[in-house]
Amino acid sequence: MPLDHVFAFAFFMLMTGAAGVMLRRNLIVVLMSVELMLNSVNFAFVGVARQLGDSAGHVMVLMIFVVAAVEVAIGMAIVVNMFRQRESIAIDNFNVMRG
Amino acid sequence: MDASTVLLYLFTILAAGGGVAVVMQRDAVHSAVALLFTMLNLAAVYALMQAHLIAALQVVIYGGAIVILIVYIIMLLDVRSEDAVRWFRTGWLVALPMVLLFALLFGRAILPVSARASTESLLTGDIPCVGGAKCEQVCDDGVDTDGDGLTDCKDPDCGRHMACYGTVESVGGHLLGPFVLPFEVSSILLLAGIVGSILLTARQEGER
Repeated sequence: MPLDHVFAFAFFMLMTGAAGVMLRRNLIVVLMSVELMLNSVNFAFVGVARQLGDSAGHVMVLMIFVVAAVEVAIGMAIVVNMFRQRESIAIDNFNVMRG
Repeated sequence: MDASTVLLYLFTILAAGGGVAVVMQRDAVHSAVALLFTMLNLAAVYALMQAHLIAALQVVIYGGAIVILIVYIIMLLDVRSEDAVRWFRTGWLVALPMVLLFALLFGRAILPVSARASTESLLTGDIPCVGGAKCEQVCDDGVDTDGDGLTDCKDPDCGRHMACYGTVESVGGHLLGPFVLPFEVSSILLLAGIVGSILLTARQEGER
């Protein structure tokens, strides 16, 4: 797969995820969209690593795996906390910074 | 176009379609299943791109841990139908310029890389040794050719060989070689994640 196509697909997935982050109101779906964006970057890294024949790109992907795992763990803890406060996770119910 | 290229494009298109489904589904559980579908298709794409270790970890970490955690939280909070049809009404006004800006910056950033990359960079035969120095020339014979104690794929010389690229030996050599500091720092990040998630969800004394 030529790099142009790799980048085109990665960019499409990144924009899909960004649209989900900006347009969805369910906090869990927003977090899933962030995962989608991270995955599109992973895909670009693997594609470039394959083209250049350099495994260093795979190390970057491993780092993104770690970040994604931590992000989901912390994100879900925050979701649970927010649900305890308002009995809801629709993000337009959370429009003030103070608890 | 050979069969593996066709499969590569097929899985990539399926992954992109799954990504669209994640955003478009109204039920959070459906979104989670679409996300799982995307992850598994991406794992197939990685396998076809010779990234064997990454493909396996994609299934284990994303399919086995992250999506399951998300589904578990959806089940725990029972919020699946909350989002129904409602989207941000004015969100498009923000989203569209953002997408265009991203497209501009992204295109500007990747064009030089895209022009530089060769078509086929993985080697199948003997490894050419730079400057006549000794190196691991043959990567699949089980013999330590250059006598540096590292056989076949364990030797960094073989990183670009078809049989070694993307294997545990090759990626692990990078991870514990030049990238050992980020590797160690990531363990601190994981520790912070564990402590943080416990701290965030633990109830205080006397709290409901």
